[in-house]
Amino acid sequence: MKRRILASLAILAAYGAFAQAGPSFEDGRGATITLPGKATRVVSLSPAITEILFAAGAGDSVVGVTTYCNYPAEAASRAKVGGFSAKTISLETVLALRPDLVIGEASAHGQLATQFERSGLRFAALDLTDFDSVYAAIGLAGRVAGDEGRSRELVASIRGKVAAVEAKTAGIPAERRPLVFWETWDEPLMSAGPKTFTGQVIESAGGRNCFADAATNWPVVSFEALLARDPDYIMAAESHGAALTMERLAKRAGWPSLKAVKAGRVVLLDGDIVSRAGPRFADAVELMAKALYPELF
Amino acid sequence: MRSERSRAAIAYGGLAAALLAAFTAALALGAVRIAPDRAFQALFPAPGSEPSPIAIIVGLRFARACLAAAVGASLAASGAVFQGLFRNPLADPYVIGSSGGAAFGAVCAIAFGSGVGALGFSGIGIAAFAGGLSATFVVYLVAGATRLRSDASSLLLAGTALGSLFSALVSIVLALKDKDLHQAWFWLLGGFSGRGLPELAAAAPAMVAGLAAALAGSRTLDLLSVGDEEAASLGLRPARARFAIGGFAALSVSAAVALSGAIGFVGLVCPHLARRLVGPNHLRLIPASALSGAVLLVIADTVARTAFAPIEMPVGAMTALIGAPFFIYKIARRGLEGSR
Repeated sequence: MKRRILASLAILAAYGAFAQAGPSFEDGRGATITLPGKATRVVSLSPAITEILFAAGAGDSVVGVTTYCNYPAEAASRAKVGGFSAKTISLETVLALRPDLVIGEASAHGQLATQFERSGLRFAALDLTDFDSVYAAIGLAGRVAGDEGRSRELVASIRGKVAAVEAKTAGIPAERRPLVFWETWDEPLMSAGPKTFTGQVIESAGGRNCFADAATNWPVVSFEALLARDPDYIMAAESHGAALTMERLAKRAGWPSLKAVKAGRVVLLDGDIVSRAGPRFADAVELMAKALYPELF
Repeated sequence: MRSERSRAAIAYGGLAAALLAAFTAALALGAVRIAPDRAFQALFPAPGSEPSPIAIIVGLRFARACLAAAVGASLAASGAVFQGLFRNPLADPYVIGSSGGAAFGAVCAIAFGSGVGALGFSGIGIAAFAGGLSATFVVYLVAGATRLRSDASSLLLAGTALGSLFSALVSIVLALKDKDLHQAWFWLLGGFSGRGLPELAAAAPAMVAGLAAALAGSRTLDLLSVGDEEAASLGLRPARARFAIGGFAALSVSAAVALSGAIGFVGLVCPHLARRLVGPNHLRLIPASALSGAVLLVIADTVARTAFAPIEMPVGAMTALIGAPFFIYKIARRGLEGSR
């Protein structure tokens, strides 16, 4: 209770001290984060957030990123604070960068909140679970960067791209939409569930996710279930391409009898844009739709 | 003597029947529902006809049941060998580092790229096989170099220490390449998804060699389980025998782990169950362990494929889930008789 009063007082004091008031927002945990002004030193804990910050014009204030933040190229020049999962984030590297804001993803980095707050850092955990949450995050990045016009334009252009793709396939009834199997891994055989970004990109591109009924995000699936569903397309990240050459597929037991393998319909896409909840997901939707409906584009 | 022999015969008959039943269940059940009569028909397709999806599915299930049976038999037989070699009821097929080495090999292949594989194994499989074998080799070097070498515990200790070392290396690789955590995690849990008869054919020579060596060494194992001094007084060289028999068992285990990841519990528990059925004589114990390991793993894989279909569960978790209660019930009833 005492702490909460103190916190409220601190927030009030912050408001008073900076009459022009920096952005104040609620993050994915429901915590209210208030910045003293435009953020000038931001640490990003995920590749998607890094992409969002740069695209929204906040790139110059990004001082720390992860080892997986490879886009835009400029992001790779920033200090590295850790890898993909929360356990690999180095608190002392983050502290040494003296950030005025640390942004992570609620699902992956929410557990770090106490640590960051105890060290006196402002920490925002964003939900990046669906397209709308990406739009919201871009809007937020715009406010953090103090350039809301640019982020508004960016959101409008992404929405436009997605809408254009969806409009082209809107008239196609569900049962005539191609069935897509996304292969995350081959040994064991893993796919992508409906709640993953990849799963949503498939649906938005006018396909049907072969394992849309999976309860988990990265389900290990049985090949016989795949064979029974017999997808029209097999898709995967380019980085997994070596396992999906026609030669390798022919050697997998039972696979040559799959419709997609017989017709050679194996599509490889840049995994970074398909699975990342960043501003480039519209490109992923477009690329996938072009692969599924070459005649419409 | 007579009654012991007939007891063993009954036990073998029971285990063979159980294996047959497990195979039937494995063929009939899966993510896709197939009526038993159609499944049966699919096993004998008309010559020259295009294979139907059902035939393919039944073929896949058969391949997986064979994989599970082979891996279960190899792990359980090796478990019996190691328990005898070390006179330790807690010894399992992984005591001399095979699983740690294989896990390290597999995780490296997943994180840094594996290539297309060799000798019929996948890229991950060959890395796991090499890792498992080299771990055993290192354990032998370490144990051989220490003054304790004639003692069973030097191998055991070297194996345990190396196991910890490898699990540390696995964590380090996973922390550095933590984007591949998912794939690696599921590989480490063990299972047969994505593997078939070609991989089994690749692993079979090593598994058969391991089983044959175990049977050939069963008399030696009987002597060793009495004690090193007694064995030596009967003209045996305990250290040398232990190295030879353990080496072949490790070869078999490395092949099994390369096929399926490190599936736990089978190799620890099946020898105990077999011992209750046929007694401590290794010539009887090893085949009985192998059969019971095959039964347990075929059942576990069938449950793993069907319980939450179309999602597959890790087989390693299923073996413990099915085997542990059964094992505890057995111990609670009569204790670990004849475990040494």
